[in-house]
Amino acid sequence: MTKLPATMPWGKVYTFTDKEAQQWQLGQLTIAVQRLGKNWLIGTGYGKGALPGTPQELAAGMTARTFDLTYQYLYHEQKIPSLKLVPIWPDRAIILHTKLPFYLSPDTTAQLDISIPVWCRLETQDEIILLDNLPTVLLSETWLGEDTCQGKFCYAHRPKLLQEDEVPALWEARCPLIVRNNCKNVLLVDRIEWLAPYLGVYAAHNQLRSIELNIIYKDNNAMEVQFGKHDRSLTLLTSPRIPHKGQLLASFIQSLTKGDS
Amino acid sequence: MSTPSISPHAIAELLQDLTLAASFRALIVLLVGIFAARWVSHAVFKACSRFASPQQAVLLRRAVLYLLLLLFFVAAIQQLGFQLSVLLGALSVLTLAVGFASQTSISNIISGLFLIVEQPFVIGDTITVGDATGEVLSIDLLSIKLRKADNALIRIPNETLIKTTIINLTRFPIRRFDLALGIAYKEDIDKVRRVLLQVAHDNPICLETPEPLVLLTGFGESAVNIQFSVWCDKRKFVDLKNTIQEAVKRAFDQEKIEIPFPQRVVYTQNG
Repeated sequence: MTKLPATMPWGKVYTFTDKEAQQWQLGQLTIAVQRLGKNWLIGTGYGKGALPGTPQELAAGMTARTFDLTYQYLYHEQKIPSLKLVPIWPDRAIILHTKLPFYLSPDTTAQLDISIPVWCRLETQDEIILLDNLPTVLLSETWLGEDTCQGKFCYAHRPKLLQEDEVPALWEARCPLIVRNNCKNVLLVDRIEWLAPYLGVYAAHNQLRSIELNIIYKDNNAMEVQFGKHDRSLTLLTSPRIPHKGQLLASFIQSLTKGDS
Repeated sequence: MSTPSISPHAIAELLQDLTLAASFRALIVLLVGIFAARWVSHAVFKACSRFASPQQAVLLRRAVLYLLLLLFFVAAIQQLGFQLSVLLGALSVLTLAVGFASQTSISNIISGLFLIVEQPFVIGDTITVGDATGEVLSIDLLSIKLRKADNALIRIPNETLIKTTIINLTRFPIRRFDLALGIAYKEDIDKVRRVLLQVAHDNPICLETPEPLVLLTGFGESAVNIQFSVWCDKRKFVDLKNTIQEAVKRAFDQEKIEIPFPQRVVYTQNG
């Protein structure tokens, strides 16, 4: 079973004594948590800079709420001494914009490894959710549709291509993407829909991972999406938000590419 | 052979008893009718809500309610011994009189029916009618009710809505916010465009697609006029309007881009 390195906060159980506070910095997200008996005081913020380093200063600042964070209390009937940080994919699909026009010849397959930021979910040890939906990086919203009347909201991201030996940041996952052009013409791929809610988050080789996503473009703007099987080297950390049954999930996905004749 | 004699007093008592009994029966029919009409109309509303729009369901509920109430009212009247044919005759005369007197109301009712069929807006939409902008609270037979942003209630007769232009601000999922700006003639337009697009990019509410637009719309007296258009989720329109204007002001201050105010040069002639 693959274990994540000790520096990674994901899945680790953090135990708190009464009035103890701990903090994490994940991407743009700052999380500070203090346990106050049966209450959890949770402070979150984006791009606010580092909080004080010593646990005493952090605890005092949390109690006085002097840090520039958004605070909320969570009360639980039982005294729960610990919590964990769980990586989870965003609740909407992510539209990956290529930085430069990307053309794919007919009958060609391109294999890319890209990095996509995950969201953070705070859970108590027994998986009672304390706080959900905390993006580690604030992605812009975007609209995916034929026109401005019909479509769906997604997140926009310009991904970084990862080399084989390159390790993504703590808050990012390595996402293998296979794009196949089965069209007769050259294909311009300018945007790819990453079906985040249908994917789980895995751990492998000291990094967060997703399973492979195979996108096969066919003639007449048809497209097929296949989810790769996870091999034994992958350890599932978080299940998909929306379970998918099989390999195919293409009927409702719009083609985001243009054939270039 | 003697005929039994009934005293006028006994006849009066009998009639009184009969009237009381009939009144009681009529009251029972009326009460049962009200209860049944309400119950049935509510059931119809619940059943219709699954497939019909809110205003269609409300309309159907009211139609069923008033029809049943009318039927039970007629039944109650009959219990009191009134002849329906005589009543209908009287009603037709009354209807004629009321019809002349309430032409506006009937016009509103018919307009309301057209609105419900055409559906230019639904309950919950934000619309602009004339000078009034607000969220549609209800679509009734005679009028619609809007709630303005300051929580004031506006009643607009349906007849007015049929005759005037309605702008539905929330019909589609996304909306565009257009910001009209003026920059000084000395400013570099490419730089201004870059700064504005960066402002849009940095605002997570602002949609990446459809892309933000920077248009040069004309040359004013004191400024080059620019239109900066960004798209957002319709539910976040107010947030976007607020944050994007603040961000533009901050970015212009930081980049020292001047937003000029009207200036007039006055020459004075000596001597």
